[in-house]
Amino acid sequence: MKTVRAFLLMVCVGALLSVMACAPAATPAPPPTNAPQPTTAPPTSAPANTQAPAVAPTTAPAANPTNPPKPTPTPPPPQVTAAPGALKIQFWHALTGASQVAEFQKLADQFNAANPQYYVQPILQGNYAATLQKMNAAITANSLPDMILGNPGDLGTYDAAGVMLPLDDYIKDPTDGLGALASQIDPALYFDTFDNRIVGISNGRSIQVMYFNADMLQATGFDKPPATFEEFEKVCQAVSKPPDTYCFALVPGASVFANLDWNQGGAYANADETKATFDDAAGVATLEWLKKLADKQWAYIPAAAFGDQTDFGNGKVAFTIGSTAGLPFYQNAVQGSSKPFKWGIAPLPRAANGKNNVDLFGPSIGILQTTPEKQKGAWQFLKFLLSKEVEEEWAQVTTYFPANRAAAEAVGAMDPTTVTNKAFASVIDKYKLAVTFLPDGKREPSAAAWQSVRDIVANMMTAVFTGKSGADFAATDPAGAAKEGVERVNKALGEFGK
Amino acid sequence: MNRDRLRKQFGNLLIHLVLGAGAALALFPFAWMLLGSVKSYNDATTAGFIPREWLWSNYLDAITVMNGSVPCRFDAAAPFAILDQCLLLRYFVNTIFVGIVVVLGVLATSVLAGYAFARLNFPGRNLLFGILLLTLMIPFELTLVPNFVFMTWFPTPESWLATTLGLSQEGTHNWINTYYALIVPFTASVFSIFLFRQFFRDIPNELFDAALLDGATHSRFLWSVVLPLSKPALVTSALLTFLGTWNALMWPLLVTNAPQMRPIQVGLTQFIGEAGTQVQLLMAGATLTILPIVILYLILQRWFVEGISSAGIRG
Repeated sequence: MKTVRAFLLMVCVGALLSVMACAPAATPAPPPTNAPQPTTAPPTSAPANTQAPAVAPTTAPAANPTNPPKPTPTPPPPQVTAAPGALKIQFWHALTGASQVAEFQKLADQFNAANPQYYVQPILQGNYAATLQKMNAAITANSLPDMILGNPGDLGTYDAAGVMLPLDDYIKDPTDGLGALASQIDPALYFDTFDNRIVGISNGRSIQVMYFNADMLQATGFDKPPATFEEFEKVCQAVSKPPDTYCFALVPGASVFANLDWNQGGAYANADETKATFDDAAGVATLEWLKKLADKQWAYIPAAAFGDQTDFGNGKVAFTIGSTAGLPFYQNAVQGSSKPFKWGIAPLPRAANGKNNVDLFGPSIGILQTTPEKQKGAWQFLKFLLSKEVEEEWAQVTTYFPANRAAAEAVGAMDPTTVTNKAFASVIDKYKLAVTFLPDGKREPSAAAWQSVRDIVANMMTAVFTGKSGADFAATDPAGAAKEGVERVNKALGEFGK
Repeated sequence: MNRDRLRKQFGNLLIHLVLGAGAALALFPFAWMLLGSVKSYNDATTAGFIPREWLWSNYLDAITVMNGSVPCRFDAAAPFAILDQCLLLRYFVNTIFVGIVVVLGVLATSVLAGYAFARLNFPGRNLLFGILLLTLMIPFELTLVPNFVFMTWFPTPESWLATTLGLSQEGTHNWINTYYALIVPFTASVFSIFLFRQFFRDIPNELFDAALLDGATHSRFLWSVVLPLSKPALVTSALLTFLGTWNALMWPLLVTNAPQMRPIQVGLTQFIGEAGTQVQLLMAGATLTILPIVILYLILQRWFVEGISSAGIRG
């Protein structure tokens, strides 16, 4: 009898598995079609650098510290369902964060409602690293989406695998191209070009800036943020009182190093971005500067993720470096601090005779090689995302700088008192200030191979800063570390893809 | 005599102090999570251990965010529609469903394999078991892509059957975005096989001899003697497997595309943005997420502890 029961149980499990078949099934990916022939790419050089803007601390925190504006979005309208016969377009993205996910879905719903022949499905795939991992698996299995949002370098990785659609012909198409929009977008900042083909377009960028505690600076006799490395050191000498207060919370990373290297007058990479060059005087000076900050106990490396933000909000550190996408988070951290303070943003310090550079961040959107119909639908959606109204809305949710110049100007002219998005309204003054840094925008090498070497650069910074060598990095002296770093990076770049 | 008693009492006190400290250490993260879940964002990122303000509304906010900022509406005319419309509920249902089926699968395969390795004599038994254990050393990340590729190779049984019988012209569908991909790869667990093998080896041979004399076969002995004696191991294996399924994030993200197919952990990623984390909502969401597991553990605690200790496994 018991055996019969066991058999019945197994049958039930089997039946259960069969019931699962009712789950939505994946549509097999259509075979890739031929990509349009590559055409001439737009110029990729960064615009000329300008003088450092005068930066002043901006508004004091709001009066009520326990009730900060929440980035939580207002509920969007119910999702639009696919019209019968609508062509489904899968859009994989890495826009984590509730407000961005909800807003992006809302935008897709708007597009779907206006274009019932298409049904764009935004699908969150985790953070950028998870999305990259999934895309790599999907490329191997030829189970790809129709559109992808990721870091420019990730798009380069996919392009190296031969799955991305060059957008040059779509952009220039006389009837369905970017048209008037093309003149609104700076290709150097917002287009991603690999092998002279445009593979990605960004609908919003952010930049790397230095966050500073204005009250802390003022208390020690500094009324503006340091513009040069020497000024930075002077501030550090005055404000650092370890272990209670530090000058700088360093989060080692390739972007921070590249920006500091540029500001020391270095190039970070050679002109065709095939080799790293930070073993030159500028690169060594950058590492020496970091070592000095460590030796003098002016700086430290936070243990936790976003620990720099937390410590900044807690008034424990005068400077951090981060993306302008973090403005609302900094605002929240400072606003409710037990000792609220004035804070601001500025470009990273530079050499006394040098010029400012700001590292451009932010994701890009690419279209995968699928069918001509799907590619066309994906292109329509990409154009929709670049339109002025959509860009204006998107900028407020993400604090990204719109690719569309008209949208950027409209957002820049917004009155904080009339902005409906409270989180954005609370940082709009700093956002407007950051816009003035954009002419100094510069991009890190974004080819696929450079993504694989970012950890080497971060490990190099950590080794020099902590003075501890290990399996990740051997040299701890600036010159030796720069040499080892470049050797490792160039070896990895040379071996990439082999 | 008094001195002996004092020494014993002192020893006991010392043991309890150490155990108490260990317990406090283990409970600290939970306390941090619970307290963090009712803090304001500012409190959670800048202040100390105790909330300055108790914001129970964080739980409602967390539910709203995990639900994709869409309110759940129940329609009596179509009660099951809520599973498609209310994401948070769907996440929970998916996770529970997948967890239960995976546990059943793991128990079925592990009990049989564990019994074979423990009580059957066949050539290469130890070698096979060694090879099996070796697979524990392979990191999950390394098998991620090959496993994903496998999922795209297999047709779902129903689409294969429909195509084979000529009932459908759509062609076969692969396992991506189906429960098959979430369940089948996890229905065999080397750890559970090891657990059962260790447990079954401790069952006295006399019991098997007696059963043999009564005419029992291996399957009868397994079903009627071994399994009733193995409740702690069954509970341990079930609980650990369920826990693993409950906490899974990377694999479900990889093999699913529709939010309706995803588990509860995906909901938690909504609080982590590119430039910062909504710590207080993340804590509230995490509290909601682990609640069922804690309840399950409290119910099955006795067998769980027994199973872990009798299988000679220490955490």
